[in-house]
Amino acid sequence: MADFHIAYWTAGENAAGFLGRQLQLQGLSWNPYELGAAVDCDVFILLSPVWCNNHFISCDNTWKKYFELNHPDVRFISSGFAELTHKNYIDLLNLPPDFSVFFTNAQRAGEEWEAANTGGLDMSQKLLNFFEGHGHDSIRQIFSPIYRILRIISDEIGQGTPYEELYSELITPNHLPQKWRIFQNRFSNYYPFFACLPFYPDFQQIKLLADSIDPYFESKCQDETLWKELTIEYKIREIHTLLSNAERYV
Amino acid sequence: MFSRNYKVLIIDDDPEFHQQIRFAFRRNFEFEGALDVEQMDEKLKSGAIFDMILLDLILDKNSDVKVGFDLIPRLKKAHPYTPVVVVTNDPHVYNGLEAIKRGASDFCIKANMTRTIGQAPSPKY
Repeated sequence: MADFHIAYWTAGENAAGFLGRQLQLQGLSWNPYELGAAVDCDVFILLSPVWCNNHFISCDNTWKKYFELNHPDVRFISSGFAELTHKNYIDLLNLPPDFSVFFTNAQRAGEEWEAANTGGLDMSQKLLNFFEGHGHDSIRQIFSPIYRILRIISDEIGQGTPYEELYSELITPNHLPQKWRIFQNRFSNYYPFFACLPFYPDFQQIKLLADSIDPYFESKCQDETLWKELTIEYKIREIHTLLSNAERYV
Repeated sequence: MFSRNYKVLIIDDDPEFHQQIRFAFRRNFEFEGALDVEQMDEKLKSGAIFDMILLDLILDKNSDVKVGFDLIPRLKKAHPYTPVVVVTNDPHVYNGLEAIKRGASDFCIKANMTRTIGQAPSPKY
C-alpha cells in the first residue's frame, strides 16, 4: 500500500470525523491543515461545500488553482455529499472501496482539469468579480489610482515638493480620501467570503494594513505627520503586492 | 537624466489619470491629451510632433471593449517613428503581447506609472 501523507481542511468537523474514521479503517491517517501553513502532504482533501459567511461555498476551483501554482505534485481532492463522479472527488455517501487506489488514480494539481462542482456558491466567480467585476468599479480599477497617487506623493516628497502643494495639486483634485473609502467598502463587502480560501491570511494582512492607514485618509490626507508615522507608502506597496498575489488565483 | 522636455500625447478617457501623469512628470515632459478617439484624431491631424504616445486600451467608461488595440496601427501609420506605449489597469500578460504584436513599443500597468515612463523606449529619429 502506498504511503500517503494526507492533509485536509474543513470549516466544520462533522463530515471530517466520518471520513477520517473511514481512512483509519484502511490504515491511513490525515492531519488538519491550518490556512497559511506550509503544505507538506501528497494528498489534500477539501470538505466541500464550505459553510462560510452564511453561505455554502464551493471554493474547490480556487483551491485547485492554488495547488496548481504552488504545489503541482499534490493530489487535490474535494469531498462532500454531492452525488458526483470525478477522479478527484470523494462522495461521502459512496466511498471508494480502496482509498490508496483512489489517491493513486487521482490527478495531480499541476495537471489540466477542473475541480468538481459541489453545488455551493462559486468562489472562483466571486473572486473574479472582486478583481475584475463591477466594470470600472472593480477592486483593480479602484485601487490602481490610489496606489499610483500615493507613489507619486512619495516620489515628490523625495524630490522636496512641499506637502501642501501635493495636497492641493494631487490629493484634492483626485478625491483621494473618497477613493480610499470606496476601496475599503468594496474590500469589506467581500472580505468575509475569503475566509474559505487557502490564501486568506494574505487578505487578513491586507485588512490589517488597510485599517492601520485609515486615520491618514480620515484626516482627509491633510496631515503630513500621519503620512510619515503610518508609513503609508510602505503599507500601500504591501497591500499592492498582496492583492497581486491573490489575483494570480483568479 | 533628461536634457529637454519631451512631448507626450496621452489618450485616455479618465481625466484624473491625465492630471496625475501631468503632475508626476511635469519637470521633464510636456503633455497633450485626448479623452476619446475623436479628440485623438484632432491631435493627429494638427500636425503636432510627439515623442511618445500613451494609449489606454479602454476609452469608454461604459464598455470593456479594448479599442486601444485597434488604434495602435492607426497611430503608427500617422506617426511611424513615435513609440506607442499602451497603458492599462489589466495586468494580464496577454494585453502586453497583443499590444506589441500590433505595433506598440511597450506596455505599462497604470498602477505602476510613476517612474516607469522614464524607462519606456527612447524616441527614434
